[in-house]
Amino acid sequence: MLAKSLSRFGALYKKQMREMAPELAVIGGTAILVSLVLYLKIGSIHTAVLFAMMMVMGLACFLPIVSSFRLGQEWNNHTIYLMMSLPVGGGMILGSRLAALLTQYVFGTLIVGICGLLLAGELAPELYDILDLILPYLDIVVLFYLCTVAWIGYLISVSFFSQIIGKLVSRFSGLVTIVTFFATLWLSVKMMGLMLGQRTIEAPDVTAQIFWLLLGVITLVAAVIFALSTWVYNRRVEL
Amino acid sequence: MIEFRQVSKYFGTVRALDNFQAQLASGRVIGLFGPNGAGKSTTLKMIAGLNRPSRGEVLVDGLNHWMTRDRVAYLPEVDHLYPWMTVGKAAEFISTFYSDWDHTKYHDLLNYLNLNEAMKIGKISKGQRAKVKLLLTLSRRSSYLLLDEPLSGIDLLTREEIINSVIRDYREGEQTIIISTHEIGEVERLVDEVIFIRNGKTVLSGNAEDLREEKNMSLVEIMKEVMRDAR
Repeated sequence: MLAKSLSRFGALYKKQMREMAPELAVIGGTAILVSLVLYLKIGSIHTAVLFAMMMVMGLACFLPIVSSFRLGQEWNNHTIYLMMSLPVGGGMILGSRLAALLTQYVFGTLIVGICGLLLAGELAPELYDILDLILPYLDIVVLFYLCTVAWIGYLISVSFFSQIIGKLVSRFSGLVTIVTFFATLWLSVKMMGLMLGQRTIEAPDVTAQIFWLLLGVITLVAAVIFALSTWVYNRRVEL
Repeated sequence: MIEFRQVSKYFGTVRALDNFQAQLASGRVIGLFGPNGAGKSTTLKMIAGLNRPSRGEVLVDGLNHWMTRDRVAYLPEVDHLYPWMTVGKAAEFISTFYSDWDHTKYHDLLNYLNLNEAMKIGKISKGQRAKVKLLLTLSRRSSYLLLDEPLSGIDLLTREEIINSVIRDYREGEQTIIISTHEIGEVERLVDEVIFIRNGKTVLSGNAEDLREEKNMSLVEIMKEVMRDAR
């Protein structure tokens, strides 16, 4: 049973990854191209280098959110008929999509990060000394990164939820999607604020505790919105 | 057996099915006939689990239609396949989800329909896409086969190929085929039972041969008559 579920999830995930191949190529290609151009043309660490790499990193972070809005295209392209007739629930369909989008985020940010590090190493090797200073705080860096992954997962869940709600109405579907997206964001951020405000943080390891707390709260809210999206998909969506 | 128990379906203010009552016997080829907007597609989508009744219930083998998706092979009227997929990739994808997928049958049909696995779905003609849809639906040994307007917009030769493929692979007594179409003439020789539907209601149903004998008319003529009378 588990093997069957895994193989079905794998097939859906593979399909999603194939659909996102152009975006992955854009991020990877842009990161490598920008790094090469900066290395060959500028040749030293300059504000322009930092700015350009930040822009590419922004693209890597932003693209999964944009891609998440492709869920609605399943309706426009009628491929929703295929997806909904498969003997799997919305959890698997949306879950595989979420997993693929998070993979896109991790792939994009890692490739931009690696290119940035290599570039820094080539243009200003003394910057590697800073890495020695960061190394003792590696756990904090990893926690921070996990928080960004959870935040992207949260935004993707909100995007899924709003698109599914938008598909429940036959008129003004786009408008309903946009309103639901921002309303859910506003409400969930309020909830996060309330949850974070109720917790007390004590020394030592204040930074680590803050990040753990953030990670927990974001993941919890994302999970609730994702579960809600799945419920609406399973119980309310029809063609 | 598929059972519709006083099923009504509303899309906003539009009533697609109106207290629809039917028992579709297993192991038969059933024609669901009626004009555009009669409720044929809604009926099939309900069996496939893509729609829910606003009132009443739909049972497939006694179970709620949401739980029986793996028993039903559904061919929608629209192009529902991913255009970037090749025929081979689409088959690989779909076969993962169904234990009744028959690889031998798939390869056999692939040759019979003059298709090949390398064809990209987005780049083939409408007729070929219709054949690919049929290939992927017929490659399963499903208990229920639902064909929604399988001949719509297809040229004569391809229509014949599609009909022949359905006949060729039909497992009499074992499989139930429900064909929804308003092009009755093409499938007349195929169906055992018929349901004529208009405005979401059954206007006439029964054994195709009995109806033909009783009225001394073809199914096309019967449809014209019952639809005229139902106005």
